[in-house]
Amino acid sequence: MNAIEMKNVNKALGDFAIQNLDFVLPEGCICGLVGENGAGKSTTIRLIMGALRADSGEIGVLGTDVNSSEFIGTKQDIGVVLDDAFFPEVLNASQIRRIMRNTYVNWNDALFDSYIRDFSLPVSKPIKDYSRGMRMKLAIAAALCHDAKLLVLDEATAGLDPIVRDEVLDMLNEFTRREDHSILISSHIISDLEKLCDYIAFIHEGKLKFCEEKDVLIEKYGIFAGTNAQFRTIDSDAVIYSESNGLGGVRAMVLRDRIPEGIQLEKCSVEDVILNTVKGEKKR
Amino acid sequence: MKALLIKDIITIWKQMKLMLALILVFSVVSSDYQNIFAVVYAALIPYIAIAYDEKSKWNRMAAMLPYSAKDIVWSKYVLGFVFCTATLILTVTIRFAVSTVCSETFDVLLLVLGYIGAILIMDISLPLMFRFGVEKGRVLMIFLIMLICGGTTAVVAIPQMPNTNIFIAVLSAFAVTIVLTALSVWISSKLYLKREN
Repeated sequence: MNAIEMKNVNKALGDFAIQNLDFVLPEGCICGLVGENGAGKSTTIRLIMGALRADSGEIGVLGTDVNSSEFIGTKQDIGVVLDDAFFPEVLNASQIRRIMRNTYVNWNDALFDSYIRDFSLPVSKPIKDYSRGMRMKLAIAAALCHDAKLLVLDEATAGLDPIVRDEVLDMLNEFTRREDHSILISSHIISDLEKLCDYIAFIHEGKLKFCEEKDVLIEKYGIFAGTNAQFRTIDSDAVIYSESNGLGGVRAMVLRDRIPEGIQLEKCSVEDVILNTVKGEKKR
Repeated sequence: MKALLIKDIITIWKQMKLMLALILVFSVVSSDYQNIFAVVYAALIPYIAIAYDEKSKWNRMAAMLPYSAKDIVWSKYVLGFVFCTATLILTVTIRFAVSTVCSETFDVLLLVLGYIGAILIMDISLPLMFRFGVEKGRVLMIFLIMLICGGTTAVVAIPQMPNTNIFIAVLSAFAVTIVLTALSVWISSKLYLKREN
């Protein structure tokens, strides 16, 4: 069973639209959803969680159609972390625990308490007095304490300092030790996704440009840095994006398997792939 | 829905205590208008709860949690019903105590009419709040206060109306309220989903 399946999903929102979105998150995998601001990451997550109704297409999460009445029950197995802890700010951790206990059938008070202790979060302080890092830790703790099979995180690490981000990534890694646990995480911080994810999905202007295994992705492309003469030997269809390096040469991202023998390529990072794909789209 | 009710009660507990104190004062005063106002005033509670939700953008979170739109809408009505009922019981109890001590009379049925008025005010205002929100619907607050004051005045005037049997008025009002409440909840659910989408 796939954790998430989206087939030909379309959703129009004013002058923006999600178009023909086909996306699969296999069970037990971690997928990073990358894209610029306004690309459609949060809209995609809202569609997946049934918070927004698609105009057309099918969306299934943990084997349930998100438009069916059964999906409310399936949400018991999904933990969600948004870009902030959107609990009423007068509530404290103890009160939030009480609300979550009455929300989730499998809620674990003892586990929540242990996360609160480990994170040194003040239990009686209202969350309006928490720092951003503390609020995110609280939100993540709440998402991890009801035996979820799927975690969905929408920009959950944005604005966190590197130490807190590292702690959060460790928690997410721990979550995925069980084979049936899956994660969909959207982020601008590509370096976090490179550390954590098996798959990278890139969404641009409402369209999914690719969804590939991270290792396959970085093997698929290479960075060419050489002279104009060398660059002219490369088939233009193999070039994703190219630019002058300011010293009379060229720097380009290219498809490895379409390059003539003898041309040396540098290794690509996921960030290189994303940035050059976007630049290539804009140039076209 | 229990979780949503717990959330609302904890969130607005301070405001509830303040309202209860005001209701206490209105209930003690020997004035039909003040006593009925005490009961009708309770119709503000769901508005306060929705305002807190909007301030914290709770609906963004709630849409991700295992709550249906029906649960989210119903919880606000139930919160209002419970608080209005508690207010009615409190006001009747206080008026009974005051009337016993001070040898006064008071009309329970008028207070019940005030209670029904509070429910009707919620039936009218909640769909508008779910559609436009509290932030965008600030004029709604003025409308709500006008309804509360107007509703109270209307209830106070009922005994003065010729050929009016208050008991029949109460029974008729109950029947109308049940129908209107069912309609209001249905409309609120539709408008809430439309707004969220």
